[in-house]
Amino acid sequence: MRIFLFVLLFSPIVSWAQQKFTINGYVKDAANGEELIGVTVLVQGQSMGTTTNVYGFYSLTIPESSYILQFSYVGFETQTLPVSLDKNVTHNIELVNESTQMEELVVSGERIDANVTDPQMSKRTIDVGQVRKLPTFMGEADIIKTIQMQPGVVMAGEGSSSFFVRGGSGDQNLILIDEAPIYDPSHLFGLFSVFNADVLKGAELYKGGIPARYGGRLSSILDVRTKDGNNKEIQGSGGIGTLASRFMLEGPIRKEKSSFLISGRRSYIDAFLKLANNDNSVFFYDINAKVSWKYGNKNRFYTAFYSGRDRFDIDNNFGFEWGNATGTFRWNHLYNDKLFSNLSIIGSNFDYKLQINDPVQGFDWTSNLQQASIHYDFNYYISPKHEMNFGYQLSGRRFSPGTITPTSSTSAFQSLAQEKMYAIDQGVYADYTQKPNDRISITYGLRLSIFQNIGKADVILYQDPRDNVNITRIDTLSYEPWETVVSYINLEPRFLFLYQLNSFSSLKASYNRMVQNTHLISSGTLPLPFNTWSPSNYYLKPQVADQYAIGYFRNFKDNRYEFSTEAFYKDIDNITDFADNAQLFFNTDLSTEYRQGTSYAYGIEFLAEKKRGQLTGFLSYTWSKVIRDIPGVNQDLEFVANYDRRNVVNLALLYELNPQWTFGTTFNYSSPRPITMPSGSYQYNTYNVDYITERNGYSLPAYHRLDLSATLDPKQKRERKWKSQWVFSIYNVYSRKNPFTIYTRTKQDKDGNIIGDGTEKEARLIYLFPILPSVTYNFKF
Amino acid sequence: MNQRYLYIFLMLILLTGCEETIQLDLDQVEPKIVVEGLLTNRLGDQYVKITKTVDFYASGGAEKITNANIKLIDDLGEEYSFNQTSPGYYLPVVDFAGVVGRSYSLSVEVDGVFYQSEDQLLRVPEIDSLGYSLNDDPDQDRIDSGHLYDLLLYMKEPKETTDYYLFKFYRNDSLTFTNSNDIYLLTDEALSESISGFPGPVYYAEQDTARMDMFSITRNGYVYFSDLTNLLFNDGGLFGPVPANPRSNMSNGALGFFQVSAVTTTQVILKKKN
Repeated sequence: MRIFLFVLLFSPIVSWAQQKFTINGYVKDAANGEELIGVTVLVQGQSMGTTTNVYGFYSLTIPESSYILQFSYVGFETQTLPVSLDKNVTHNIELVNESTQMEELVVSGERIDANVTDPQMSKRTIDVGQVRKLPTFMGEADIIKTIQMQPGVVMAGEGSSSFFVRGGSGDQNLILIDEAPIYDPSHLFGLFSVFNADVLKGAELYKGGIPARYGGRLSSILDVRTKDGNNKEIQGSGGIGTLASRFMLEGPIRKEKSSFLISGRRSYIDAFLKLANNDNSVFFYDINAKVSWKYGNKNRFYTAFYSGRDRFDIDNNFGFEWGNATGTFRWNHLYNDKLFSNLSIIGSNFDYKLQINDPVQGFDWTSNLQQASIHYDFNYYISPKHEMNFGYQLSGRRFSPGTITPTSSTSAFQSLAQEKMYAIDQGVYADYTQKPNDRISITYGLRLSIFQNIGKADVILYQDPRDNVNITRIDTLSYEPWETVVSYINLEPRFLFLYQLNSFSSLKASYNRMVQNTHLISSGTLPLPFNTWSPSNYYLKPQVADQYAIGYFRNFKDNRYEFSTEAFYKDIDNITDFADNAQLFFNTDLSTEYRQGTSYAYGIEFLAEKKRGQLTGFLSYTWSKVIRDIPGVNQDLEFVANYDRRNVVNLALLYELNPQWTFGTTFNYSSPRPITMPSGSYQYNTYNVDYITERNGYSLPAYHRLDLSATLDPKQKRERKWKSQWVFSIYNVYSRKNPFTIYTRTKQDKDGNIIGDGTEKEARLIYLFPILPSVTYNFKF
Repeated sequence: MNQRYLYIFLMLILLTGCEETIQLDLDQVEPKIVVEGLLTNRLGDQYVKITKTVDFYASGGAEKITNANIKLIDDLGEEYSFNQTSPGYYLPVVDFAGVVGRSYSLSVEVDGVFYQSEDQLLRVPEIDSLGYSLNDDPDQDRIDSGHLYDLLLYMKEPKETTDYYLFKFYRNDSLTFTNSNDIYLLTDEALSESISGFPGPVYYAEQDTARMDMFSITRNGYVYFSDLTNLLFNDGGLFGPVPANPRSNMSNGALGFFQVSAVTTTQVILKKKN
């Protein structure tokens, strides 16, 4: 019912002076039938238009007349379509790629002047084609590495798939693959991400002004979409990298009607280890599969599946693994020419396992988390000046934080299970975009989030719920299955405003409130795959963020150069942190370790970008600051967050010398990251102990790195189907010893012999990668 | 669960990662009092050591506090007096042994400031026996040092209470660690009642005399020693918890811990097995 209430509430007042008709359809890539997201559809000679949605659909309702429609998209030839509009019509359009190279991968673009005309701000579209040509780490193109270079995004250090957006922590990013959440996007503890660049259609990162259809995390949404599969011809592609190989096959099931895609990637570090007669084994893999089909012009179906896993075996007696599996079923349906709908049924599973094989000390430790969701989303294209989105989203989650099972009857351990936790999350939302005149566009949205922590649950009451030493339980409240333990209802307003100063510059402002009811139980800087998650509950309140942003946007030289600057302020309530010395692993009194407080962050970002031409790329600079104030942590004093890098500069450039050679470079500078270091030391028993005075009171050295790449597409005969590509990369060209972390130890020489009287201490800096060249061979047939 | 991940991570990046000593620019801080106290049910164990923290890069060890007044009282009101026998090191004037079930309060006065603490002496189960066995897959360090034997522990652990233990291992009467920062702690939460052949963390060679002291500790003691482990093995808060001072049972911001324990000792001489 609420949906209809919203419809009434936002019901536009439109004057119907003239009869209007609707033209709609899908826009696709002529080469493979992939639907294109964000294609600009403009009525020539008039300042009216729209863009295709995430499924490639557009709809325009305009007065009866003759028009020329123009379809344009970055990387594709602009196409025009004359129409005599005297009834509702459907036109599906196919755009032809400008480039004749191998790299005709679909890019998820946007209208050419979107920088200044789209009210959406604080959003970055990641061009997968660009990611594939930029320098790689060990030969694996990785969109997360490009995400980490965006303005407003900070990374903790190299070798990590974590990113920190506008002062938010690493668990405040909602990472979606085909709408399904990924709870840990890392392979090999973060050296690579789970996203295989081959199968990606595109990715969008929202750092602010987040649309009402997204909810659940405070700081960002990373919406990654995979390709639908070529529906015109069978096509294979793949690559051989330094560390992993990939293969993908896609093609029509019934030509132009349905398609499939299947792709796999696997690392082969274990093979190297075996060759080196090493007892350890390490590998990861990813499998993506998708089937898409059309039923008339009004119904489209997509079924997507992802599974990825890491497995480590150490000395044959210690093993651990983790992985994500997701599935999405989507049904696009056109209720009428103006009302587009999408129904998604989503499942996601994350689990990890630690195994010790030993007759006495052996046990299995498993932990997992499941989510099932239904999303029903609508786009209502009322007129070029009025557009509305609304929908309902329902999710159920089950958290199993840990179970210990002895692996043999002689084990010294007994079975032990931490209680499962259950949560139901509902979201009802609507947003409405209005363009009162050519210069102004306003989007206002509202999301109602209804969260329930439900049974079966036992809530333990404590004499002092924050005393984690002398834990005194006084009572237990028991809840039946499905019984509500606690519910939290929040209204999340969203707002976007655009004022176009002229055809090449504009001002934007935005506000969003976000609510997070899923909390990562981790006190380290980098999330580990072995961290568990918890829903909001009796003790843990929802985290709430308010973000305000303003920006100035300007394009130069016929939209060839884009420039923008944004300033933001973010305020977080109930940010989840943990007591000093918190014991987060297998703690049956975990709630005594929660410490929630406030955090605020502000900053300014600059971005210059060139999207077309021989030279493409971007340069960004961010200044930001993030402070936390958590009662019970750091003697109740404010402290800077451990990911607070004040100044960050990123440069990414690609230069296409000729059709064969493309050169790329990336450079990153990040100012020092705060870290907790001792100020003194003392002896206790035989131990040399650090004396800590302040959380995050010291800084690691600054981080900077230069990478280079060269991509070769060898000349080959047109009729030959097999196409090759070589990507050469050099990581950390000047071999900077970038700080990873610091630890302390008793002073010793390089052979481990104690220097001095055994009470002196020293600090050791760990750094990861020196200069690392890599080669990747890609092919396509 | 801290530096272990770091090392797995480093192993993983195929040893391209490296480390080096760096000089930190650290603040000078106001020194804090450190109390190290031990009271057991065994004669001769009782002592209190009072020192001060020093700057991180200081040399010469901890600064000893020589003007402390120590007062120890049990929950029956019995008072035990302590004397300084060497700088910073205080021993009972009359040797005594703690009693299972008693609580003990320690009061330390330095320059007019009092630091207080209380801990209870809990029972410790008897160890049935210590065994040993030749490890069939020792690592290179053990092969090089000849410490090829695992020590095996056999005992019954009472399950009606949650108990915490601290272990010390001796090789031919000298205190031994696998890693000098190791603290051998055990909680019985995940343990079954019968512990049968649980391998110890310290390894031995033939003819060694292996001795194990098992101390009962309170929940406070367990919290202190596990915090201390986290601090000694911290990775700068990267994967593991942010380094923090262990939660002490001393009042008034003093560091260190006053440990009250029952102790049981078992030993075995490793004979060659054919």
